Amino acid sequence: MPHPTYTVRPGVTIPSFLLQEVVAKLAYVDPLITQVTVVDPGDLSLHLRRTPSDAEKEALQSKVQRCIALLVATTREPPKKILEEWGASPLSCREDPTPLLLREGHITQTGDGLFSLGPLVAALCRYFEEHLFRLGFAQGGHCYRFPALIPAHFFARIHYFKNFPHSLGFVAHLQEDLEIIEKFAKECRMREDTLAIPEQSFAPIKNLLSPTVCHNFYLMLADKTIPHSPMIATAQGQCFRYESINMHSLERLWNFTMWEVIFVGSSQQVKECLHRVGMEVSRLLQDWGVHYRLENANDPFFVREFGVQASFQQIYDLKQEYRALLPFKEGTLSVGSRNYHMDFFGNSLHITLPDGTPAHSGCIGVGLERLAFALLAQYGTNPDQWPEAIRIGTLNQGR
Amino acid sequence: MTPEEILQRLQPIMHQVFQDDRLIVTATLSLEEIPAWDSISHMALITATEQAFGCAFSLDELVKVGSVGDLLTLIRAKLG
Repeated sequence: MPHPTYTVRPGVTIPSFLLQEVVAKLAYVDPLITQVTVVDPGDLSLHLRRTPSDAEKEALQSKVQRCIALLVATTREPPKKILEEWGASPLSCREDPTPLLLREGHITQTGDGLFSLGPLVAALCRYFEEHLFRLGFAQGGHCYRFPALIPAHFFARIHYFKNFPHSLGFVAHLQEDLEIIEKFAKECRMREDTLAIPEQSFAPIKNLLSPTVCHNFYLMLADKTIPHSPMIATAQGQCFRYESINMHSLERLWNFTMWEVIFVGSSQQVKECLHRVGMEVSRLLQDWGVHYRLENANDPFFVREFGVQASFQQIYDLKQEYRALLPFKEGTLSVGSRNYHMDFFGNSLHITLPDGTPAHSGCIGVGLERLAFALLAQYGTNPDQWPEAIRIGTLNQGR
Repeated sequence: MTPEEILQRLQPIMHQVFQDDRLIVTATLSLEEIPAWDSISHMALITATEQAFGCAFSLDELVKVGSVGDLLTLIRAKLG
């Protein structure tokens, strides 16, 4: 049965540079919304789970208009800067790899934004990971391994609840109470695809799912003076960012794997590291045959904070994204980024340099599943069509 | 409007934004040197300046603003 739709005419004109951001953020406005599409002449069509009541329609209209108005009022058009562009030879593949990957069992969707990877795609991820770690070590990085959970107090200290509340994942456990646990064991049921549990089963939330790898490194250094400057860490970890109805295929996962190299030191040291290691990451992408652009970018701050924070990032050139070409949609996908945090973590977490001043930090991260997806989109799912280095290199990665 | 007049108008704005009446606003003052400077206060300064002088800055223009002197130059260019 097709989903009912509800058309909203924005009360303000949405500038073209902001349209994609508006559509993405509307996913978080109401649980009734399953999809948002743009219809001429600038209206938005909300696809809904069911037909709303009149009161629900009114609430929906109000929330959508408020979200749009806030974003439009506070966001300035970012200058588009392409810092690098690479694509050695024309790409012949024009197909979305997702249907074939699903059909042939190379990936299996197990839930919203959750995919298990079979040997073909997992081997690609392993290959990229191995080479990125080698790059990290060659650039002076020391290997670290972090948990996938981070305490809530860390997020509070870095104002994460204000900036990215929509993407958080909370870790809950049952209260340590015999009666509560027994009641849960007896009464918990599946209600369609959600878990129905007795009220007040959960203990208060103390931990959240980590959205990055580098956060755990900064937490490790919180309230300390770093022993030497710069410190360079490299690690791979499971990351979690809830993206609501925007989670499709390997392009946008709830749970994904990221490799990072992380720098903590003086401003000059961190910038030098970002530049030096960034060039090596670029070279690696080129060696792999990945067609990409390196562009200025901003993080997906939530509605109220988006305009201010995104503008600041753009003004001070704090973030650049590696955007791999997706020929099948004539678009790009962010597969990695370079990030300079200034002394934000140094100040928020009291991380100090040996001279007593707040530390600066930065990181370069690559999303392994996204990079694998981009490669499949550019060259197809037949390894014989892959660039030679990857075709041969993945043979001993369990492909 | 002379640079001195612009600085005179900027001073109370910066005192308010950075919550510091002791801040001495000169053309050579670097924004990053101000203790209360961060992303929020930076954009609050920009918004308050736009409102006070009746102008609008693009991000391209704001990229060049690292000091009060840079802001002063931008305001003068907008006022003509």
